[in-house]
Amino acid sequence: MSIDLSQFHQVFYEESFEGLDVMEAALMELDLNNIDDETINAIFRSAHSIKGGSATFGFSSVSEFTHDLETILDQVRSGKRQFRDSDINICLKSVDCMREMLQLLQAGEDGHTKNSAELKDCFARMLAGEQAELSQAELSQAELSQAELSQAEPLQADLPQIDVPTAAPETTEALSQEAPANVAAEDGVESIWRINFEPSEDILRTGNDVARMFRELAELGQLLSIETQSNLPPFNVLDAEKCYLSWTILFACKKDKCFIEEVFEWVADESNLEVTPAASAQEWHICFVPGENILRSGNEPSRLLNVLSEFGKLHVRVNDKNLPAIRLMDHESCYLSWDIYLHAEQALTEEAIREVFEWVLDESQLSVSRLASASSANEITAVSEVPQAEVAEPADVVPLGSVQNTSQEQQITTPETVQEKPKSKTAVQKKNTETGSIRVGIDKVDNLINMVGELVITQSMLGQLGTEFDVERIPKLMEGLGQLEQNTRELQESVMRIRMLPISFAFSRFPRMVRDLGQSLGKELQLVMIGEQTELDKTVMEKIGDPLVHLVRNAVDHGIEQPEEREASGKPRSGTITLNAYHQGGNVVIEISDDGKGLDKQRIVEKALEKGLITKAEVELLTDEHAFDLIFQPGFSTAQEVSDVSGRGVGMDVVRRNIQALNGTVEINSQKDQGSKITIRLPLTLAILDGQLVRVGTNTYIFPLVSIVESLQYRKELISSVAGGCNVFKLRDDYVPIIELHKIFSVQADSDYLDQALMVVVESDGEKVGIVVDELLAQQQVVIKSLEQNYKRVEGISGATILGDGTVALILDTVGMVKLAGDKFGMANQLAHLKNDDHQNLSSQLTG
Amino acid sequence: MQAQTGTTVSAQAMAGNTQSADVTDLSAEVNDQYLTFIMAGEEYGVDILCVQEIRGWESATPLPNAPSHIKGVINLRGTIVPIVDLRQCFGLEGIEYTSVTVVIVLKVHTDDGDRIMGIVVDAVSDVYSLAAQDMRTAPDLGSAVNTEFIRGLVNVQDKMVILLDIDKLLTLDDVPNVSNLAEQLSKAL
Repeated sequence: MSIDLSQFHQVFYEESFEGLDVMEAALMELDLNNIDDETINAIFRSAHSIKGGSATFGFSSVSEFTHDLETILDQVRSGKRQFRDSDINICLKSVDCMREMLQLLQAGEDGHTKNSAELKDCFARMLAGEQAELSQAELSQAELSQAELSQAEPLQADLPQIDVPTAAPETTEALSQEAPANVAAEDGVESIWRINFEPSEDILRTGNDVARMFRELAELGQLLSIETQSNLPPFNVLDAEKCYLSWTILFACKKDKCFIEEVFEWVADESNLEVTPAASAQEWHICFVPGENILRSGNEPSRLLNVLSEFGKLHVRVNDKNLPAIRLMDHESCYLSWDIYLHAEQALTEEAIREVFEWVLDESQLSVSRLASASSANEITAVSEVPQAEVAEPADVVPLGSVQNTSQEQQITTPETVQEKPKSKTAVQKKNTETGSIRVGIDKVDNLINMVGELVITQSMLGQLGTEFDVERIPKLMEGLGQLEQNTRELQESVMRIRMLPISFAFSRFPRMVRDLGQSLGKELQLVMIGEQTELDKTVMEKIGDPLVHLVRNAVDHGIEQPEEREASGKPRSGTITLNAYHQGGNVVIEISDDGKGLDKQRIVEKALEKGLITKAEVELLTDEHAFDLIFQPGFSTAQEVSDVSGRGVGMDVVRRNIQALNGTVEINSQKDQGSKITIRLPLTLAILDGQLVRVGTNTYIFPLVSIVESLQYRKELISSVAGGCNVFKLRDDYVPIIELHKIFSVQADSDYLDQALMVVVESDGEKVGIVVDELLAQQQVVIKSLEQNYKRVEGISGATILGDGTVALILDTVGMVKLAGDKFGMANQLAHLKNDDHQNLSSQLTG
Repeated sequence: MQAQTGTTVSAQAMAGNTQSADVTDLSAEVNDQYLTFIMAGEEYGVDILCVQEIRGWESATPLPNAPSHIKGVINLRGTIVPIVDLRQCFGLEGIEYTSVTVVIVLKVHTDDGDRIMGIVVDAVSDVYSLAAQDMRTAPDLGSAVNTEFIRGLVNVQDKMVILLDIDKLLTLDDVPNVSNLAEQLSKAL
């Protein structure tokens, strides 16, 4: 049977990209002075998974590349290589390179890139260079890596090549006595099982045939003996349809216990079934070669031996061949291995023994084999080819360091290493990227299932009420409906929660970015991230990524000064950039702050004058806030020279536009020489919105509640009309332009006179606008539906929703409405005028 | 597919016994089935596979500044569906909507994917199975009239049926505005 592997490609890519993210994050976390094993392991595991996956799918370019990287990582992990800052750079580059290669493969191209060739050369140099420094004791390890490397890379012909098996003298020797058994293990070792099968009396009535099961067993292996015990009642009470027999079967097969149990699967419920290894007292031989780092991960070999001793008598032989010269010895490493002979008093399975070593299996070599014992021998003499040992571990034994380097095929065949996979998965789960799929915590799904369960109960209750309804049960009905409403709301909330992801998904790219930027700009930077667990809708998250990148880049490039400059002004050499996310009301607030030089108002003003964004007259009246706001204008950049990082004049306006598209706002605060802080406010979700329903004539429209500043009664005496036909309203000290909704939407209002109307003051693009409506209706949460899906964009409308009565209501887009009003009534000029905050000017015009 | 088959059945049921045996003989060489409807006495047909459902008129929410033939949007089981008055689309005089006014909900294929739209017509008429050779291409009516949206003409019982290409018709930027389309077409033939 051939499997079309291409169907798994997508999963492989997704997992690999996630793996790369994990690697990247872990590399960033790595503290060179104090290398944390767990971090190195995380990097290693990801690289290993990618290598295994790519090898399985035949992406040799990636697997070869990853293999080299892994070799280096392995040396780091086993303490053979000093990890330097430059090495981290190379590793980060490799991550980028692998990402690129995977993307190429995804696009259906061959994954070789120029970078990958360069980096591979680099790896080769690293490995070759290291060799000279290595001491004699470590040589075999290094050479092994070299050997592996040279297999993957022919260009390294000048390196010594050593065969893998000979590099492992100690382990091969230690296991030499089991060698034949090990070879047999390849296709499974025969073992003897005792099966006690006591079917219930009724087994025949349910259509089960014991003879068939035995035939099936015979297919699995060899039936050595079948002992039948009959429990026949006196003939006069015998029921011909009942089964009064039970069996004890001695059975030899190469299969696992579960295969035997499977034969009896259908009758297991109604029968007594016992499948036990036939021998009662057993001799086991356990060869345990722990990884060097086993002590660091908090495991205690002596504890393991203690646990083992509970099974029976132990004979332990310690193997110290691996001890390095004393000057090379690391007191935290474990150089010993153990040969253990266990005389078990009770029947034991291999699993039980393996379970003892469960925690160290990942990093250790373990072989467990059963020896034929005197007591069991007489029971199984019937079988000529009695197995000497039972070994599930693959036969080829390689030394410690490279055990994880073995190929993917092997991983799949050994259950222990397969177990390792989910472990690395949980690590991967933390750092999901913005791929097409979403990973949802099981608690959220469970919660959802609970809700649905409750909903079903409510539904059946209401259904019952409906079938036998009478007037007296109306209170019951009301109660049911109330419950239904609650269920629906809870269900809605739970479903929304599924889309929520912690903001760390968007933040995770910054440590790397800040580091790279810092290096390229020669600045010393520190990144502090707070509130990474703040949850945000997935769509919002995807769209906020790019604006955040812009802002962080700006902070690094424009904000933080060069270290010397900082020292001169009495600040610490390294600048700090803080990303802070938290919930506030129905919003998510993201703050990006730096302790750099802050915004220079003078320069902004000069630049704005130069670009013609403001006039000289306006400069005088410009507040800090409004000056800073200028940087959000298109084409504005104060960077002295255009750098790679920022300063091309696109940026802040794009940032603002993107954030506004998400119904969010952005504001900037800055203190000269103290730093700046940019605050982004985003709605929690794009799918639901708190709305204010308003009525104009017969139409219902919805304002997003966040955009409303206040609502007030229309008062004629406060209205003035300015040239161009636009009315303005005096709101305290502000003049606010008025837009009549019915006019711009060409609908019929209650009356054309504004006396009766209400005005909703909304904020649009940072400016206040008064919008005239007939009546304010309820405030409620509405589910946003797209108009564009089946129709097209409508100016002034951001979407639609369905109201409680099933009708459609339109959601207003304040920015669009202002634009519409401008197009329709030439209000653009007035608004632009107002926007520049030339209020003084305007009021003089009004009074004059 | 199932839903569409269901629609076929209901459309046929609505059409009732007006069905003519000669054109609905399914064993014949059938290429396409068309749902036809009446507008101002003329019969028009649309590919039945595009028809999602047929429903009665219900009031739609008007869209601001929309052209007059766009009657607004309705809520079709949670989806916002725009409603086009085909009469006004063709430049015919609009009529008062009653509870028996019919909306045909269609799936329109566009470059940006499928869209669901509703068209308001006077009444649903029949379902015809037509082979491609029964169909005539529309005659050229000169540059004034865009006939791109006409898939073809077919004669059923000596009556002309105009088969519409709704994918083209409903994605036109402008209304075709062909007030006496049928008359013009029969003249041109």
